[in-house]
Amino acid sequence: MRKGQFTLAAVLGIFIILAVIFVFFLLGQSKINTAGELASIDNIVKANTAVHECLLSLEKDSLFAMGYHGGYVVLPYRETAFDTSTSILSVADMEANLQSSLEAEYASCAQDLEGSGFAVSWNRNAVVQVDLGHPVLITIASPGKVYEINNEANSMLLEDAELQENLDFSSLYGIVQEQYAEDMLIENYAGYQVNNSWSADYGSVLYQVRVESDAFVFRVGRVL
Amino acid sequence: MFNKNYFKMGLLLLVLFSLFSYSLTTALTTTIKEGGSPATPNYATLDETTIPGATSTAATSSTGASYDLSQTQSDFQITSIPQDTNVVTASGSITSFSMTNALFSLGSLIQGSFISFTNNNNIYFKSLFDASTFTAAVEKNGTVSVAQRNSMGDTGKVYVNIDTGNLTQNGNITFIPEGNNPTYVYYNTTEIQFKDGNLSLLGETITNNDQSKDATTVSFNENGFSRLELFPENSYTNGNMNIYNAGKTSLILCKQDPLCAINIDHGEIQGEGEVNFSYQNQVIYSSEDAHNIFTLNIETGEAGLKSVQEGEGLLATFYSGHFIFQEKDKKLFVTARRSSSPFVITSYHSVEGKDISIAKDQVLYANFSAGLAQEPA
Repeated sequence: MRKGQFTLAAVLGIFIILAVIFVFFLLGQSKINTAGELASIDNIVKANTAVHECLLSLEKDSLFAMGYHGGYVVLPYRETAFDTSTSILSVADMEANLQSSLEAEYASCAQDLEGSGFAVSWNRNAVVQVDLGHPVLITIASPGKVYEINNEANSMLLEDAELQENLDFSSLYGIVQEQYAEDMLIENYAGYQVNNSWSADYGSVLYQVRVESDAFVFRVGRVL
Repeated sequence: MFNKNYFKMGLLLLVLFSLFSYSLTTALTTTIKEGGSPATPNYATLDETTIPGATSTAATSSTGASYDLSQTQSDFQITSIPQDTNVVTASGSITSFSMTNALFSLGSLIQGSFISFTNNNNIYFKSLFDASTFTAAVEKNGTVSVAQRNSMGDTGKVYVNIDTGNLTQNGNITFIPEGNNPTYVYYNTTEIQFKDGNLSLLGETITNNDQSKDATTVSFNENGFSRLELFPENSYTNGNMNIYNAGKTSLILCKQDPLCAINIDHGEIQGEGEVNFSYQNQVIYSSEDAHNIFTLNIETGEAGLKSVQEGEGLLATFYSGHFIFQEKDKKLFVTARRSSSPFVITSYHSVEGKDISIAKDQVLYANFSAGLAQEPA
């Protein structure tokens, strides 16, 4: 082995060792944070708040995911060129998609209490409501209650998780509909940012309408 | 014995003299009909004694007869000339042509009808009323007819009918015939009228195709064409730019005259009506409405459309790089395609007053953008 090759191998080895140490450091940090969070849930009120915030966060994330995927929270088919729907759904279909996704997912918020000594008892009659109007309203009504595992009498009802987004979905949907054509309309929409793009093979188009005052973006593709 | 010898000698001299006289006569006359057959009556005669300055050379087995008329001072006519005859004029030689009803003045061709026996065969002539010189390069079996009228009390006129090859005036104006009746008329120092062909000057070309009913009139100066009429289905080319009249009425094209339908003012071109603009033979603007006024600055890439009477439907389409733009129903649309047009238009002012910016990979207007070749998000 020549001297130069040895030096290169040494440098690479040191680099790999440092990278491994860095990864372990990050993992350790993560565990510390999670443990710290769980340690802070030391009473029923905090447990209730954690689940409530989880539900609100889920609603918000689902709404954003629905916009990103053109009406689907999770794409029902294999990923398209732009990872979004290739057709415009009706508002009613989008509301239904969002509702069914939340119904399937909200129970996952119980995981936030794992290891804390508290748990959630979900209400089978909980109601999920979605209204993609102005504002956007998403509600998980009567979701259930939070209780202490070792003392079930220590429980607390979860309040309705009601998300109200100051988003004029009807207007945004109108812009998307106007843009969704092979010939794009060059237009200035006050309060919205339109960023459309063609794929590298010119075989499809991605239409993106972003709300300027929010991070919400609606994306939909079109195969040409 | 004595008498017999003198008789034989006299007979021999008579024969020799007859042969000499015959060859001399042949050399000094043009009484030869097409194809070189023997002379027939009804032809004018070139006579050195009556046409001062004319000289001639007799035909030999290898070359035809040659007439040098370049120094002549008189007007005269040649009604016909055969293939193997060379006529030297003040402007150049005329050879390998059949010639009928040719008129010469001061050593120059004034008029005549010619049929060429070879390719790229030149016939030279001058204008009667100014210093313009013409060269008609005719292909084999091609014909060219020349007629002139002097400017005495009237507009001078050089009339040329040519069916193949090309006609050049003063070395820079070129007429290329195409069609049934290619005609070229030079009126004076600034005007040309032509039909069925292309006329070029200093990098500019104007067409008059077979479908055009009338002749195209072109005014010109030292900078090229200054004013012309662009008939429907005809085009004007200036360097890389081409303007095509896609409408049903003729359009006047001028330079530095905004009153004309098409005005070229240095790098800026304004076209009113149903016209198409092409750059390097690719369409960059296509008008679909006679009320459109399209402006393009070739140097800055700025373009704009106005409509003197806004109509519904498609007004115009223009192309820049991979983008295609359409003015339709009082709105501006854009799409993209794999093939690309010349990237000439870099900004555009729409009918509705939108100012858009066009880059090679992106279109920008206010809070709207459309980009190319984005990878999946």
